[in-house]
Amino acid sequence: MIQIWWGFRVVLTELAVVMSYRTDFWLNFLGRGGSMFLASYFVWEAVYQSRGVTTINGYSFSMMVFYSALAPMINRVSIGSEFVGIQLDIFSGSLNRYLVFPVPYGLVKYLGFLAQGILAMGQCLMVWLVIKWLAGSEIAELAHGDRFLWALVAAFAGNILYFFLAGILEMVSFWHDQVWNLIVMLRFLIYFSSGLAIPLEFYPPWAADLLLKSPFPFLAGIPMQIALGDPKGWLSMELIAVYLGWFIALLAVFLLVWNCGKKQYSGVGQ
Amino acid sequence: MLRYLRLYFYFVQFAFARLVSFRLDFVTRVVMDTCFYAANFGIFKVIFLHSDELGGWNEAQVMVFMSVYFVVDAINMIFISSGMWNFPKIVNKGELDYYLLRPVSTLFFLTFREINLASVLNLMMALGILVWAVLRLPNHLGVYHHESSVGFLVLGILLGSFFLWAFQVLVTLPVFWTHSVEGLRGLFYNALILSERPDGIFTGWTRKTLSTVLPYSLIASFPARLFLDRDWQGSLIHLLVMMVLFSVILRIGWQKGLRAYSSASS
Repeated sequence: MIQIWWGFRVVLTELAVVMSYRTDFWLNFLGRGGSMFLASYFVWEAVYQSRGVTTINGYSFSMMVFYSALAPMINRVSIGSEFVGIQLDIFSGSLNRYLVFPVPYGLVKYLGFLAQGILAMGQCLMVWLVIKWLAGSEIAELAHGDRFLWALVAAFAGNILYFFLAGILEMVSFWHDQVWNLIVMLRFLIYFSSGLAIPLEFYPPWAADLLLKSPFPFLAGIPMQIALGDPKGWLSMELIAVYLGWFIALLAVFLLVWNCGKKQYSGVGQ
Repeated sequence: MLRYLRLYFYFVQFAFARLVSFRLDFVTRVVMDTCFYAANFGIFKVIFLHSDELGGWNEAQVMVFMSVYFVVDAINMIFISSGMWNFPKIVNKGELDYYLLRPVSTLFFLTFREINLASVLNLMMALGILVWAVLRLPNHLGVYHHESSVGFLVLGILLGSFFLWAFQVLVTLPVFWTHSVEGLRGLFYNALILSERPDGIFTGWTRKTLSTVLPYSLIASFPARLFLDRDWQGSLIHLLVMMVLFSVILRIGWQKGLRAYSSASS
């Protein structure tokens, strides 16, 4: 019981930290969600108009608008603000206090990261409600409450995978000062490979099959499939097995890098 | 002018010393930008699996447009981005005093001081991609539209670099009044995705806004038009008029910002 309360406090503290910079928080929401939507919307409008068709690869233009609006938000639930904070702790020496206090460092960092996902979920819900109430009837019909909830569950599952991925990269800080490049690199990989920019059905079948074996589609493409009603039946036992495989593999690498890195650490202060 | 060139030579010397000290940073930056190029090319490749044209351009033309964006971005990464990144910190810490005292343009010193030589290899890669993309055009070089196409392409890249720099400075200037521009800069950098799309896809007020008030289309689309379009004259006039306008706005904004600036030692 005490453990749960302690975890809850960590999440609340992180929520308070993020919300203390409210203007930045909302500008970020507007910049990321709004500009990605605009870029995607106009690209697909041009494609559908030039082809003169109503459906491409099973997607009507309305489905594409729905996808373009919701995918950046769903992705935000999975990746939060992209950085998990480990690099900063190592670089500034504030990791010392976590090593002294009897708390599992990885769990504390994850709970802080989870709080970012929870805030993003609020923004995602706002976009979903706007779609539901304001968009044209064909787009609004795509917004099913139960599918959306399951999509959020999938996005939070992706949130754990992303934490491991980014955490492993940030722990390179034990050996090398500048690791922001690695996180930006991960951003580009996710942009192309997750289905954030384009639904995976639009990729050549061999590429889509290959990507579905990677952890990236769990950060946008698969939750969006669920939100759209899983038209290709991709949410299968095979996918769950892929997820569990990545979960175990990334957790093992995370712990290995942490144990090796700790021995390298020589922080001062704080 | 000679004084500025000499000063810039010293900046390059410092940058080289930094590059030698952070060798792994050099490698990761190169890999990072390679991922950026690959991701963008990949996205357009997938789009062109489902369409023959995008915003009035075919695949070969869009590749030239993307390459122009890569070159402008690489120039920005080398000469401007590091300086711009530290701009708010310098203002907030009161370190701007030391820049104001120097007998050179403060804005020049502030934005061009930190050269990032690690991105030189990325510029070379971007230029290589641009040459490859141009050679893939059906009738490339002068034959394509007008005799000075390549010259106009270079001019377009320089103008695109100007707009990216000017826009970066403009979104950073509010730091003189608000002390934090993280949100605004985040908005600006996130919205850069709009300059990674051909302006021909945008319609209505979005298209007008992106080529005037928020000049995202002036960073790569209009510069590429100087080379790719038959009616390139209109794009050139638009770019030159907007350059004059943005120079004036920048100058006024910078002077007002300096007037609002106060620090413990000023």
